[in-house]
Amino acid sequence: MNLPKFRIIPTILKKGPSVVKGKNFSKSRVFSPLLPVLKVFQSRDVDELSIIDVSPCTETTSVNRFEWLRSVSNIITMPLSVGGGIRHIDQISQIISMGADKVILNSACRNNPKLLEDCAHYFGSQSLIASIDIKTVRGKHCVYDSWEQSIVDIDLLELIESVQLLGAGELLITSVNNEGLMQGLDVPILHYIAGKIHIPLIFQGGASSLSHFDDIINYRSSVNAIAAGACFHFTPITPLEISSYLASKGFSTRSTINSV
Amino acid sequence: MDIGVLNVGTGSLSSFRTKIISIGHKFVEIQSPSDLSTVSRLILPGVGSFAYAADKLNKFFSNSLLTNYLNNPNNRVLGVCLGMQVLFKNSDEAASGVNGLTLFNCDIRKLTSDKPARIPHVGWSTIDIQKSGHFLSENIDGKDFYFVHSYALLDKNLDFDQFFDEYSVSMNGLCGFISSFRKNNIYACQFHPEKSSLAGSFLLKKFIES
Repeated sequence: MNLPKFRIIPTILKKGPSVVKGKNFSKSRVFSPLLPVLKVFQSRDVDELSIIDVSPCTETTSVNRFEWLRSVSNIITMPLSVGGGIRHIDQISQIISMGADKVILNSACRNNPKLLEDCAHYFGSQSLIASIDIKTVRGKHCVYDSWEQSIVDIDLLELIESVQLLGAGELLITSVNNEGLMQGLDVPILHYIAGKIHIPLIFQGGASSLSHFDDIINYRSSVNAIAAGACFHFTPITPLEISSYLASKGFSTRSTINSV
Repeated sequence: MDIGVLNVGTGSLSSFRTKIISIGHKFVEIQSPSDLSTVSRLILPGVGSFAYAADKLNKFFSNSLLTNYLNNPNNRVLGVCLGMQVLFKNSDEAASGVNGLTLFNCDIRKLTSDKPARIPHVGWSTIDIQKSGHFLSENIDGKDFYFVHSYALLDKNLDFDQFFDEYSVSMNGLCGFISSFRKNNIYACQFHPEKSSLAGSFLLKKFIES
């Protein structure tokens, strides 16, 4: 079976000109300007990068919201996905024309299914990542609205099914309970959703040490990538170290050349 | 060297700009047919759908412009991703009457899926060089490149060994497809060399310099 290589995707939360990081999607703290962080990931030759703009959405359909991407694409050349407050197809068009390969739609999965449909239609499914945040309350896995910081009354498995039907090319699942805590991945959520997904799955929330990745070894055929933020901001561990560790556990990871 | 990247709204130019500069060449945006005479290396990027890209490219290259460009043996064209697919005739992605640039008279097909392989094919996959040369050299055989696509030139369409001067295959699960090739001065890759780290830089340098 020749599956694409297992990816490790650093996730950057961007607020204004800065990179921030929170815990459980709140209490975010600023810790660096954006461009130096990007330069580090470029020099580390990461598999892929995600940048989420968590600045408040004032003018919600403004294309100016993503103007910062211009300076980003002068610095980085790895595959890039961009999300955070995308409300309009013109914003998607602008994001892709400025060098992102994929957009990440979260709220639109619940509020604006037509935006997913249009994105898949105009730019292809491969450019659309549907993102769903999950919070587990008393053992029940619930859809979570990270802007409003509240549970949404939508059935999780139905939402997962509907975004796939709307044309999403990948699914990004984030565990709100584990996000930012660096205590390990949320295996119960992975177990709950794994069988329902037939597009590539990016799983996120809580990975911060090599041993945390042992938890997904049994899910190799269900998970295509792990995304992580705090892990790369607050620990010395690098994406390459994780890839090498996974390779030692039998995962197939990327091989590239060392010089041009 | 000046490297032309076609800008007809079918893909992002900024990634190519950054990559081309990083390997020591000059990025030139090609917006009108008259710009073509300024470059001997032309890249056709491609993001979007086959029908849209085919329409834009056929309009740009009307009056045998592309054939004339390729008739000069010093000129080279590189189709990337959808920019590779539109070199062919038709695609499962488009209605039957929609034709690409039809430099090659065969069609692009949808990848077949088999669990646990998924579609779209997204991520880093190995290229397996079947026929090497100045473009596809041994240094990159077995290395990984970045793919994002649902359609491809599948390995059932024609006798590739006979047809291509150089080519590689890749797999998504059990589905094999042509991941890059050269035929005379037409170069193509299904993956994104501009997004493919040092292996991508190496391949672009081969296209430009060798």
